[in-house]
Amino acid sequence: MTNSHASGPWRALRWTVAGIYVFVFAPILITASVSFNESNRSLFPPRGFSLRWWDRAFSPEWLEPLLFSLQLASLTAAICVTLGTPLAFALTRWRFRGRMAVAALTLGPLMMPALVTGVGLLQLFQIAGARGSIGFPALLAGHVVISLPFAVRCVGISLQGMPHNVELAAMSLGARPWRPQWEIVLPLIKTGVIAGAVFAFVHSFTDVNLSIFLAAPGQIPVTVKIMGFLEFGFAPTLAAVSVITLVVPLIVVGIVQWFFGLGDFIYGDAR
Amino acid sequence: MGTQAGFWRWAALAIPLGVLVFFFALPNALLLSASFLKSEAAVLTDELTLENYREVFESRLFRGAILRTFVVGVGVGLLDVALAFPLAYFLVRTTSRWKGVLIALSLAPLLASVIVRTYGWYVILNRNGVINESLMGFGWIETPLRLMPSTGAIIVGLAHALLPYAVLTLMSALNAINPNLERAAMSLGASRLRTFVHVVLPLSMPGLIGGFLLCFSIAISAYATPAILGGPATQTIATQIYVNMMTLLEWALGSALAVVLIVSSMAVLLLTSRVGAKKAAP
Amino acid sequence: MVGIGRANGFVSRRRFVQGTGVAALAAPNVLSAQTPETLVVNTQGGEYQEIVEATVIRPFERKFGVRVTNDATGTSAQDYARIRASRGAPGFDVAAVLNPPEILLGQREGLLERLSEREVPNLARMWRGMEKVVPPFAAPHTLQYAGLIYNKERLEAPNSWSDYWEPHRRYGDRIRGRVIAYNPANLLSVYALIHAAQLGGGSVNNMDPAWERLRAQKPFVGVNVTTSAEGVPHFENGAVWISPFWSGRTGYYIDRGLPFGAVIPREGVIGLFDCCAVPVGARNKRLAYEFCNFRLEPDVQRAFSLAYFSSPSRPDITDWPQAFRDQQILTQERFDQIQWPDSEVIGAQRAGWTRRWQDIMA
Repeated sequence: MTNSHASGPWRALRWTVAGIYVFVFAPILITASVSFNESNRSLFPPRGFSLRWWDRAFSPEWLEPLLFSLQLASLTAAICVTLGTPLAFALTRWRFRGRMAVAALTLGPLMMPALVTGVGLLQLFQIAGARGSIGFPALLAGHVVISLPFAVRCVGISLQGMPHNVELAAMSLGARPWRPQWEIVLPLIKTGVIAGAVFAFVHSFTDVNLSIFLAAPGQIPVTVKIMGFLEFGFAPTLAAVSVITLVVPLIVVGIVQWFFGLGDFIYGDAR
Repeated sequence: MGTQAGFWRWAALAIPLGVLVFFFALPNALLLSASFLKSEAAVLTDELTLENYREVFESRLFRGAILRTFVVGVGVGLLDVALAFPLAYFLVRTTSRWKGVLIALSLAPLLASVIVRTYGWYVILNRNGVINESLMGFGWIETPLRLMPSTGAIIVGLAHALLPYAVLTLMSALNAINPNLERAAMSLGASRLRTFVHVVLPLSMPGLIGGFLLCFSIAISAYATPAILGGPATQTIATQIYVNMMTLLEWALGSALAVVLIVSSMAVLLLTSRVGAKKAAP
Repeated sequence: MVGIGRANGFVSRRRFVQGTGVAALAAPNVLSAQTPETLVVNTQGGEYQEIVEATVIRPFERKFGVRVTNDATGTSAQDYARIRASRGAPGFDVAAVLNPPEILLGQREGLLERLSEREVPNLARMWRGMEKVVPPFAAPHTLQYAGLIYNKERLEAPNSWSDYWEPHRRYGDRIRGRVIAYNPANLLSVYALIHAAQLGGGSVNNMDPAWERLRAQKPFVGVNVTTSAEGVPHFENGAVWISPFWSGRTGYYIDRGLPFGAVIPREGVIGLFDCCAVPVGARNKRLAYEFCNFRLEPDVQRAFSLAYFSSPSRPDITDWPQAFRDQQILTQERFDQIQWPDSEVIGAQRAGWTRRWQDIMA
C-alpha cells in the first residue's frame, strides 16, 4: 500500500517539502553562522572562526534567564490546558446565550498586541495594590492569558473531531453521567491537550512585548534580555544565544513528544 | 444530567472565564479608555473627546496602515496555509523514521523568530543580499531588486515565523481523515491527484480554515517583524500602536488604534465564522 | 583632584544625612555586614552593561556596603512607559538612562521626584547653564551629541550638515542610496531635522525648511530605520556611507573596528543628556539619591566616560587622554558651543513631526 510513495506525485511532494524546509532554515542558519565570527562584529559570511561567543552564550548570565523562561513556559502550558479544556468543552458542546461573546473573549488575546495587554496588566496590578506581584506572578498571569487561546483552540479541534455519541453510548451501557467525561473523552482529546500545551509553551517562551512590562530583576525571560541586548546592536553572542533558545525548547518539545508516543501527539488517533 | 453536574459544569467554566475577564478584558478596558481622553503633548487630561478616533480615520497614514494590516493578515494566512498543506500532508502520511524529528524541526521558525527577523531576513533580502546576488549571478536581473522594506517582505517574514502554527493545525485535521478513504478511492481507479482534489481537500477544509484564521489573527497583531521588514511607507496598525505607546508615549492615540484593531478584526472574524458556519451545516 | 572629589563626597553625604535626620541609620548600614540594603537600578543593557557595572555599580556597592540589582532593559521611552503604567512604581528605584523628553513628562505627570542639591549635592557642580536644559527632576550624568559619521573608505570627511542633507552637492551621484534616514520617534532624527531647518534659516520653532530639505534628500536615502542600533548592520556591510549618530555609540563602534570617522559639523551639534531620575514610588529613596549623587562623582564620571566614549556632566575633571579631548565635551567653553533646542517644544511637536516625516518618506 505504501508503494504509492514511489509514484510521481509523491516524489514531487517530497521535493516541495524539501524546498519548504530550505525556506524555513535558510534565515535561521544564516543568523546562526554569525555567531562564529572571530571579531565582535556581525558579519555575514563570518570572517574567521571562533567559539568565544558561544562561551559567553553558555554563561550564567544567559542560562539563568533561559531556565526562567523554561519554567515560566512550562507552568503556563500546564495552567492553559487545565483552564482551556473546560472552556473548549463549553464552546463546542454547549449552546448558551453569550456563546459568541465567550468565543470572542477567548480569541481576543491573540488579536490584541501583547504590548497593550502588558501595559494594561501593569496598570491593573498597580491599581489593585499588588505591586509585589510584579515578576513571576504577574508574568504568569499575563502569559496564561495570551496563551490560553491556543489551548482552547487545540482542544476544541480535537473535540470537534470526536463524535458526540461516544458519551451517549457509554451512558447507555450504564456509566454514570459524569464518568464519560473523565474516562472516555479525556483520552480521546489527549492529543488536542498535548498540542495545546505545546503551542502555549512556545507562545509563552517567545513572548517579549508583554514580558517587558511585567518582569522584575532576577525574574527576566530570556527574550526580554535578548531585546535589551538588541537595542545596543546585534552581536555574535546574540546569534549564539538565539541558537540555544531555539534548540533547547525544541528538545523539551521533543521529549514531550517521545513521552506521549513518538510523533503521534499532534494529530488525533483516528486509527 | 441533573443540576449537580450542571453546577460543576458552570464552575469549571467560570474559572477560565474569570481569568480571561480579570487579566485580559479588564486591564485592556481600563487602558483603552484612554482613547477617549484628550492628550496634550503626550500627557492625558480629563477631557473626554473623540479627536483621537477622528485622527485615526482622517489620517492617510493610519488608514493605509489599517488596510495594510488586513492585507498582511490575509496574505500571511494564505501563504502559510499554502506552504503548510504539503508539509502537513507529507508529515502525516510519511513512513520515514525521521518523522518525529521533522515534526519537531517544523517548529523552528517560531522559536527563532526574534533574531532571525532582525538579521537573517536582512541578509537575504537586502540590496546586496543573498537573493539579489544569486539572481544577478545567474544573469536574470541587472540591477538589484528592492525587496525590503515592502509589504511583501512583511508577509514573507511573518509567514515564515507563523508557519508552525499552520502546520500543526493542519496535521491535526489531516490525521483525522481516515487513510482508508484515500486507498478506497485509488482502488476504484482514481489517480493520486484526483483523490487528493476530490477526497482529501474537501475533508481538510476545516483544518485549512482553522489554520488560516489562526495565522491571520496572530499576523495582524504582530509588531516586531513588520517593524523591521517594513518602512515608513509600509506601516501596520501594530507598528503604529508600538510607536505611539512605547516611543512617543502618546497613549490616547495608541489606545484608539488598538481599539480600532480589535474591533475591526473581531468584525472580520465574526463575518467569516458566520460564512463558515453556513457552509459547514450539513 | 581625585582625592578632593572623594573627600567632597564624604562631606556632602554627612551634610545630607544630618539634614534629613537619618544619621542613626547611615553609620550602622555601612559598618554592619548583615543583610545589606538593596537598590534596583535601571541602566544600559547589552554590550554596555559591563561598562556600567564596572565603573558605576560595583564601586557604589563597595563604597556603601549595599547590593545593587541591575535592571538592564529598556530604552528611555520604554522605561518611562513602565513608570507611567505602574504610576511611579515600576520596580526600579533609579531610572539611570532617562532623556529630557521623558524627564519632562515625569515632571508634568508627577511621577518623578524633584532632585535638588539637597538630595543630590553634586548637582552644584554641573556645567554652567545646564539648569536651562534639564528640568530639576533629574541628575544628568552622561553627555553626548549628535554628530555626523561617514565611511572613511568611501567618502571624504564631511564638514557641514548640508553634506548630509544635500549630499549630492558634495559627493555627486555616487551617494545615491547611501544615505540613511531615521524616524523622528528617535531623537537622533529630531536633532538632524532641526539642523536641516537651521540650514534654511529656520529653527525648532519653524521646521518648514527642514521638510523641504527632507523632500530633496529623499531620492538619495537608501535605508529608513527607527532605532540607532538598527542602522549599524547597514554601516557594517557598506550599504550606508553617511549618517547622523550619537557620539558615544560612534566611539564604541569605531573602537570595535567599524571603518567610520566622526565629525562635528561646522554649524554645531545638539547635545543629549542621559539622566538619573527617581520614580515617586521607589522603595529606597535615600539610597536612590545616594546613587544619583555617586553617579556624579568625578572618578566615576571619568571612568565611565572613557569606557563609553561619552562626555561628563561636570567641568572640573581635567586629566583626559589627548585623543579623547578632540571628540568630547570637556570644558565649559566647548559646552557653551553645544546647542540646546527647547525640550518642551520638542516634546509638544514630536508626534506631529513623526507623522509629517512618515507622510514625506512614504
